[in-house]
Amino acid sequence: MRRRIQAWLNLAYRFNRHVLVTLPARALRGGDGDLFRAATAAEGLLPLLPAERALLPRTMRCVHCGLCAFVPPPGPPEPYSAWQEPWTFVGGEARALDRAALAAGTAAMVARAADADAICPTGTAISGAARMITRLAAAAERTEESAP
Amino acid sequence: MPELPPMSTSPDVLVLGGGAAGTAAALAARSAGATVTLVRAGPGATHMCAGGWNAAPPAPFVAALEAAGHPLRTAAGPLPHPSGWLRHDPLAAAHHAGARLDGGTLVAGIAGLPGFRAAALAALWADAAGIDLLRHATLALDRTPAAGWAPASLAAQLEQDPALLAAPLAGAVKSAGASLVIIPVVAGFDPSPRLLERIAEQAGATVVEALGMPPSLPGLRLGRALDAALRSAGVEVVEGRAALEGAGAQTGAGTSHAVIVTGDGAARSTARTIRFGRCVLATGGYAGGGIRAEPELREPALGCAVHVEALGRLFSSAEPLLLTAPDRTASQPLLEAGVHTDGDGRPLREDGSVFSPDVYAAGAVVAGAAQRVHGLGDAATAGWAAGLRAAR
Repeated sequence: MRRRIQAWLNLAYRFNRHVLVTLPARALRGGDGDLFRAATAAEGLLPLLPAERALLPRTMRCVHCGLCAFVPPPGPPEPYSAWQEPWTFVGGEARALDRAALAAGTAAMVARAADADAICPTGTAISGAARMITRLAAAAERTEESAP
Repeated sequence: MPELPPMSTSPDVLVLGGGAAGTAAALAARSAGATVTLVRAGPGATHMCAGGWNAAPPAPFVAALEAAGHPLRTAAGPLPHPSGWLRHDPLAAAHHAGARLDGGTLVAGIAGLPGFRAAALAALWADAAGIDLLRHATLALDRTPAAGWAPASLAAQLEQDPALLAAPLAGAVKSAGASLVIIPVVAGFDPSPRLLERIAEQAGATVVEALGMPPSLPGLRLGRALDAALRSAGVEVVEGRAALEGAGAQTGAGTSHAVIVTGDGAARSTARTIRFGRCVLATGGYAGGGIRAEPELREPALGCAVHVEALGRLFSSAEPLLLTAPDRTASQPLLEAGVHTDGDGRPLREDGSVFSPDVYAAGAVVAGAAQRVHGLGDAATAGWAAGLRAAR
């Protein structure tokens, strides 16, 4: 009988704590999804927008032929790295990309990607991927700046 | 060859595709006296080539390339590939043909250039050739970007200033006592090997390029040479995507055919109708854009039935798990997708009947061709034969 009373008291305590503490605290700090995003965003892993998720299958058409690498960059022929070539970020999208290196050539990359769409034999969504990568790079940069 | 009237709208032969097979077909038909229009959507699999030719194409085709400043030469030996193995191509573009692996060879990489590690390649090539270790050096060039070179960027820089590479190369040649240097593919965009010869002159040794890999400068050079050959042969070249007018209709011998060509980019709104007597379909396989997976597999130009040879059946929808092999080095069924042909190279319908007696297919658009035709030589030979049949 004593054990049964203890069990009921424990249950009542847990119920009250759940209603009075856990639920309000969760409402204040956000749900599990927000917690997860906060934890991963700090590492530069940001959620995709619905439109970006819809675009992903078209970015997977890339066969890494490299033809888009010969779309000339805008402006004078200054030396540039492979990070500014469309096939680097499309082909490497599923891998670990150095977004900071990509972000350094953002303007040139996006401008070239628009022309690269026309040259791609498999119809890969190069310009869409460029916009997505640059958005993620910029968002990750903001997250890093605001991190403690 | 006879002069063509400008902008012919009803050529004897229409060629769809501007790669090795399509260009060979156009040149062959032109050499047989036909008026030829070639429609191409953009660069394809030919523009991804490594620089070697797996078989000798027809002599007039080789002559046309030579006249366009892109000579093919007999390979001095197995050609080193930046993947670490040797390719036994009988012919290669002059940039690569002189490569040989022996005691006097120096493998020279460039610091910051991806895809060409001189030390590793020297060991792998020496192992593949069964010789002692090759000498190697990695050259540090001025103006190297902090994140390294893009191959196309370095090629553009060398076109302006060959000494950027030649000066450090001369030092490496002197210290190694080398008579021949193998460098990565960076010697400019021009189809001719003139820039490579200038670098060799300043470096004081014979300089050749290894074969290329994407992004392929050898492919870009070959594309420019094919372009020049088409122009000088009087072939009308139309940029855009072609689609058969009234696709799906029964087409018999001698009936009138037409394709509607839609431009890309700024010219997308413009469309042009081309009527033709005979047609060569050489638009390439999946990698070249001749077969689309959207997601159904289809051949967009003429609407021919698409087969996947490796799976032995017709495919109306792409099934990714079946069309791609987990082993990336294995033959990929998706890349083998294409049209079936009869003994004369004419595409077949789903029921096995001839699509049209006036249409011939050549190159990678033929199902299973990527496996059988593993190189430019066979593609050009098949294209040449199709062009002659179409002009007959």
